[in-house]
Amino acid sequence: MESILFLRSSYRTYKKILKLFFIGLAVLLLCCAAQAESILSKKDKLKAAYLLNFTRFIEWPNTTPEMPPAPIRICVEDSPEFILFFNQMSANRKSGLRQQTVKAYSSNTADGCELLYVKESSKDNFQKIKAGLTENTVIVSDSEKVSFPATAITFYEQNKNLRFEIDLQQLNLANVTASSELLKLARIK
Amino acid sequence: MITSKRRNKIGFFYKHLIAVVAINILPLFIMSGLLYSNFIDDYKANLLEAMDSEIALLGATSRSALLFNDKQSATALLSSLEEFTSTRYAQIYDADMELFAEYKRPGQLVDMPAEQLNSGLMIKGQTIYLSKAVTLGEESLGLIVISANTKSLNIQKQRYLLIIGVALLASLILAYLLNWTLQKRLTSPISELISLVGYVAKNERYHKRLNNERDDEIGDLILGVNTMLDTIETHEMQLYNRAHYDELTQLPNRHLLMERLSHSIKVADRNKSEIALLFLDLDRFKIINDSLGHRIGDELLLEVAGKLVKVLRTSDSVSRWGGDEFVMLLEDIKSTEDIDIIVEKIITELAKPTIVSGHRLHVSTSVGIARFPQNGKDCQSLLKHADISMYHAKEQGVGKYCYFNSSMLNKSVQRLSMEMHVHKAFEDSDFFLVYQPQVSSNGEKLIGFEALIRWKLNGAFVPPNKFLQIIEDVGLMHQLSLWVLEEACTQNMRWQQAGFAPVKISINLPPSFIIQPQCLQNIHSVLNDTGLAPEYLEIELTENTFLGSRLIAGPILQSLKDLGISIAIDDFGTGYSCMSYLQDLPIGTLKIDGSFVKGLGRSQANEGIVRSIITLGKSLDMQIVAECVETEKQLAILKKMDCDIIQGYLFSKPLTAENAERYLASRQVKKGLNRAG
Repeated sequence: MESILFLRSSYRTYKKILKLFFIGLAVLLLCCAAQAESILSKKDKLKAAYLLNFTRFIEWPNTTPEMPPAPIRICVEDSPEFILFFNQMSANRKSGLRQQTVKAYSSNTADGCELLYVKESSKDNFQKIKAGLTENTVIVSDSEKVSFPATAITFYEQNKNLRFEIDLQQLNLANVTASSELLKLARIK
Repeated sequence: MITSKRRNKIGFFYKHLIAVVAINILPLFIMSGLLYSNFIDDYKANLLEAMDSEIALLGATSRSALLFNDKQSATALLSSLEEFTSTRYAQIYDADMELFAEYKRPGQLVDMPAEQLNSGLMIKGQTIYLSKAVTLGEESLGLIVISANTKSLNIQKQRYLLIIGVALLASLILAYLLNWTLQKRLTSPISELISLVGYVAKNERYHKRLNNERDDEIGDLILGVNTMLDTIETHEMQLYNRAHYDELTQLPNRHLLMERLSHSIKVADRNKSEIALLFLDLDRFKIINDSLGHRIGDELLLEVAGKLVKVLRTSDSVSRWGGDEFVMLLEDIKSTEDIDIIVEKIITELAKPTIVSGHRLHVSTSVGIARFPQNGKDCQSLLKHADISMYHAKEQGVGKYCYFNSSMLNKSVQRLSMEMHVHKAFEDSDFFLVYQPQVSSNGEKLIGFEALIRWKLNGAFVPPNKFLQIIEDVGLMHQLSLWVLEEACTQNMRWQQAGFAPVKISINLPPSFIIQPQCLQNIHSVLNDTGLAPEYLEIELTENTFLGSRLIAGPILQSLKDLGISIAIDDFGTGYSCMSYLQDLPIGTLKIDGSFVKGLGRSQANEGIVRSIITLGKSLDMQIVAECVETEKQLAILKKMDCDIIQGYLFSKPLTAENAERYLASRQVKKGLNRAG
């Protein structure tokens, strides 16, 4: 009897602990997210938004006719805060004609990204990153200082405003279609 | 009248024209209004559609700018609205409703906060506000607002109004002109009809007609009016003829005569010529008319009219004045001889016997003549003077003519005065009878009395020949005759009732009394009323009674004879009658006219006439009465000639009833006659 009472008591304790765990995990996650948002600079946040918006105006070839369609993958240099912020931002949004979700991944772990966001530091992992690219990957460069091969879109600043430059040739090579709405805002290379 | 009404009022055709034009134009007005409204609505819809398209385009093109926070591009996009002149301003708000980009036309103010604009259209006054959410998929990126004025809409309204106004005015003028032309063409026959009716109403002349070549309702109307005018013209002509021509003889009547006379006087006055007016009155026509009836009288008048027309010159005219009176107008008279020739021709022509319905009638005419300018300067005086002179002609005997002279006026006045006295005498019973004895030629026996009428005016006796014709003319002869008959019979009966031996009473009755239909009945009534036996009544007639009325008088006289009444012929020998009637008619006594008796002992010829009359009478088994016997010598001759009865001053003048009674008494006492019988 005592043993049964003990088991019952232990089960209740276990449930309380599990509950507390999940509450703690949630709080942690929230704290992490909040921390990620607070860590990221305004410029990075803006760039994250731009990256999401690029997916809205660029159409990739439909190589995987799945239903529901597979998400558009954004490969970002290993930056958990950026990825977390991006994924939070794109959580309820869909892009393109196929209404695809957009998700950000670390370029170190992801293959076959539709859009690759590279920074200056990415040059070091060039070979590794390149191996994970497809022919349709659109490479977005963080700035004009980043000299990454086959870069299609390059961020730059103008009058303290973030702008971007599009290399139509690279887009063509990537076999993607950019909307005129995107093109009219861009500086065409 | 019609014209003045037309002047005062708007004409029917004008009203009709206005009504037709109004009816034509009304649908145009309605259509123009609808078109205008439709144009404006279309323009407004187009404007809004253009704005909507614009805002949709801007929304589509600005979302990337919103997404990429590119205010410059957004502003550049909005600036493209500058070419749309109606655009006042445009704004793009981000998702937080913060102003992201803006374009304002110079001078324009943002007057509507974005918070008040939901996505859609708002029109306030002359300003349009259009807003639209900028979305990407289901994500709202912001709001775009465009404000535009409706100036272009107003300009367009004015433009449409001008176009429609000009089109309407042109349509109105065209409709008026076309309808006016059409109406003029269609209604021209009606206008002609109106003119015709107006002409007829104004001038009262019905000779005009309209040409009718139409085969429609208007043709029927014209035909109807023409027919109506035909009828009116015929009636008018008939009325004119009735008003101006005598219905029986178809000669001009007195109205037309007066017109012609008036005209002739004017012409004669202008030409200084003479005219003569002849007033004709048929002698003895009344007797013929009364005895043979009006139908025979009318036929006789027709014959007379024919004879008069035949006698006339072309320049003369004859008219029937009324009854048996005719008036002739002789123009352009050169001398009295001209008139004499014509008048004598007339008298001669009319004196010829006329056969009417088997009757051989003898009529003559008395003619009075008045001349212009000697006897009168106007119609009335000429007619009056011709009439007066006609009476003077009549006084001279039948078939005479007489020119007017001023002394006739006095006689005419006297005659008029006499007529008045006659009427008064009748009313006052001023007439009375006197009785002249008729004695056997041997002087021994009183045969009877002749009742003679007397009238005392202002204490003096008026000779019967002075007033009897007047009484005849004024139409009192019948009454007077009846009164004489009653009075004489009454008096005779009174004498008989007084115990005197019955004697005959002779009374003179005019032909007009004898031939009237009630003659027998009247005489019979008088005899019944008075109780006088018919054999004591003798009726004296003149020869003229049988002239032209023998067929009527014959049976009447026979009836009187059958009744027991004696018939005597008075004044025998002076008339113009045919002697045969003495044989045919029941005449019992011949009275030799006093003019023959007065001549006895003076001329052999006179004695021969008297002897012949007595012989004639005796041969016909008649009694012979000689009147106006005044001397013994006359009596002796008459006795020698075997005259039966003497009447005259030799035995007695006409006596009053009282004196006659005394005379009667004396004669019957003297001769020892029994009063009782």
